[in-house]
Amino acid sequence: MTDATVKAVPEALADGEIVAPSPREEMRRRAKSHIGLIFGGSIVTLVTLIAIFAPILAPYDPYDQDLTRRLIDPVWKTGNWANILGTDALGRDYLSRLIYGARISLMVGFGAAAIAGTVGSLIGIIGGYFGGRVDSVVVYLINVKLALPGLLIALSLVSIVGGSVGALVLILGFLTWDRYAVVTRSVAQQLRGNDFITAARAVGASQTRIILGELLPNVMNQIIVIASLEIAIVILIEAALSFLGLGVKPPEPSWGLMIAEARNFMFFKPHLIAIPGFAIFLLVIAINMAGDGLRDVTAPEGRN
Amino acid sequence: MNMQPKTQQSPATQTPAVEIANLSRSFQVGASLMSKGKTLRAVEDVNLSVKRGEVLGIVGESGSGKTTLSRMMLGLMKPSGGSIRIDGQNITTIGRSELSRKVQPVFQDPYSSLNPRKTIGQIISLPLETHGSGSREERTKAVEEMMLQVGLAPRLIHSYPSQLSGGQRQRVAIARALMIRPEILICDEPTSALDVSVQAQILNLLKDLREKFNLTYIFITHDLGILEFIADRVAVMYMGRVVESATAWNVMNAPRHPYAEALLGSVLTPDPKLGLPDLHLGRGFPDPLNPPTGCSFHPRCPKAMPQCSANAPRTTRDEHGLVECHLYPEGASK
Repeated sequence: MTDATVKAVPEALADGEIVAPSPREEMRRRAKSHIGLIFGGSIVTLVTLIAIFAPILAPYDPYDQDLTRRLIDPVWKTGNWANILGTDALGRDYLSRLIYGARISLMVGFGAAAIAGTVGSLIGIIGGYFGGRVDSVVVYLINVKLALPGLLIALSLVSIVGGSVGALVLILGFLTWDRYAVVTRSVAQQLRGNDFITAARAVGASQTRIILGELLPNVMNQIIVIASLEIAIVILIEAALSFLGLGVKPPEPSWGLMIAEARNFMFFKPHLIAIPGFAIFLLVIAINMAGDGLRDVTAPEGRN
Repeated sequence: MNMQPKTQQSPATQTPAVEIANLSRSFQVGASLMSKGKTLRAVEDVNLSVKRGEVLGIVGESGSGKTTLSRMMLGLMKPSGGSIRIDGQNITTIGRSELSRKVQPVFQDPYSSLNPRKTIGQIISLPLETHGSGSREERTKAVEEMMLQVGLAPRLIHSYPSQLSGGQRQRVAIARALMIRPEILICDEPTSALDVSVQAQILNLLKDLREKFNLTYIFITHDLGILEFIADRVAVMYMGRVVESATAWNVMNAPRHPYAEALLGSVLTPDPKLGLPDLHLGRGFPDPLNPPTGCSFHPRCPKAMPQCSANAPRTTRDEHGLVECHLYPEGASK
């Protein structure tokens, strides 16, 4: 380095075009070749679209009872296209109820994940970033949460508060934040010693700016992956609660509730249970596949 | 190579850019509920003064307290004792945001100093956003201008750090540090993670920028070759203490403290016939939790005398600078 003739500027200006793809391009490329992600993702997208456009897609009002048209068989038995999936015990069109049921499942799933993701990630990042006493408190909170029997608490809370979609979202949201907290805490712990955090502090950035601007973008991938898996779990819990009569109240068309209402006809009208059961199965497995795919696609990047 | 002092005579010589007096920082190690743990003195009784526009090199082994010192100067760590004055103002009375306008860091590892999730443009404009200066367009323009100043093509503004080479990343880090026009740049081993060819470019860049932006550098390194090239004055640290401080020329050509001498002897030469330098440093670095008695360097010192293990040497100041060694007793100028 004693050679003062080495020029300071030209190398960096002159060197060639960018060869390495950006992290985003890299991720897009991996996503395109991931079958599970494409398959799961397209089913989730399809169900979401169906839920959004339910009023247009549903052939009948899902609440409209017609006792003269009870328990009609689906089209593959009757050949009658008026009620494609038949009707239930109160003469309501089953397809319309199934379509509107997607709304409740997705609303509970995404709503609870949004609450749990926000609460859990904030708690986790704060614990991992600040460390010390703050972290002890966070670890204590996580341990308390992990020791709680989640489903039992959900059951008792719902029976006290009463079942509505809003109550379910809140209760399930505050019962599933722990996984976000565990993961984001460990990522924040790894990142806090990095010089880019020190640089941000030296520039005078506030702790809020460091947490939201520097740390959050680095844990976003992990949060999305956990969320996709948690949504599936929450949808199952909602179905279970509704089946037990503690979730969504009739006449709301929740898939779990539809199964519960069809219990009495299980032996002579099995499709009444099979159809919503298959819908739950398909949605949950699609979300799981998409979540696994997201993890595969983002993990190499997340590890830097 | 020009070995004479390189400082330009500036009219503002009255207040030093940085003045450090009796600065100490200790850590409690292994403290728990039951025991108090041990005290690690990372920085002990450091006195330094850096004039405006000067380049002070701080040299020493790993664990000698260089980085702790730099973190205190950045205001990221509170001293246990003593004071740091920036432009004559005590650092504890300067607000976070005001201090960041005066002192900025450049780090060693350009891989961990840039947020992998942000574009180069976002990284360089962070200081402006934090200080809320300018509109979005003004900031982008300022970022592009700064990128040119540090030798980065403005088209890289939308790339991510992972797409850049080590040298380019270090340029980004320098650009970020200069965005709010600080007076003092604390470079903590800014070239040691880079290839030798890139090191020279970054050093030349830092030299250019010093003149353009009127900067004062505090240059922390373990590489004396770099200091020879860039520093006006050099402080040699050992176990948290400044054992010798003098002009770069004096330290390079007439080192007084045996440790400084040993460090100079440890510089690797490109001539393979010379082989590895022969160091008379004996055992390794002492355990900083159980520092040796007397002069902390005496177990490794080739010139150790009986008094060295008994009592710590006093600081001797003379026209050459400062030295802390029993070979140079107070008053006896060599």
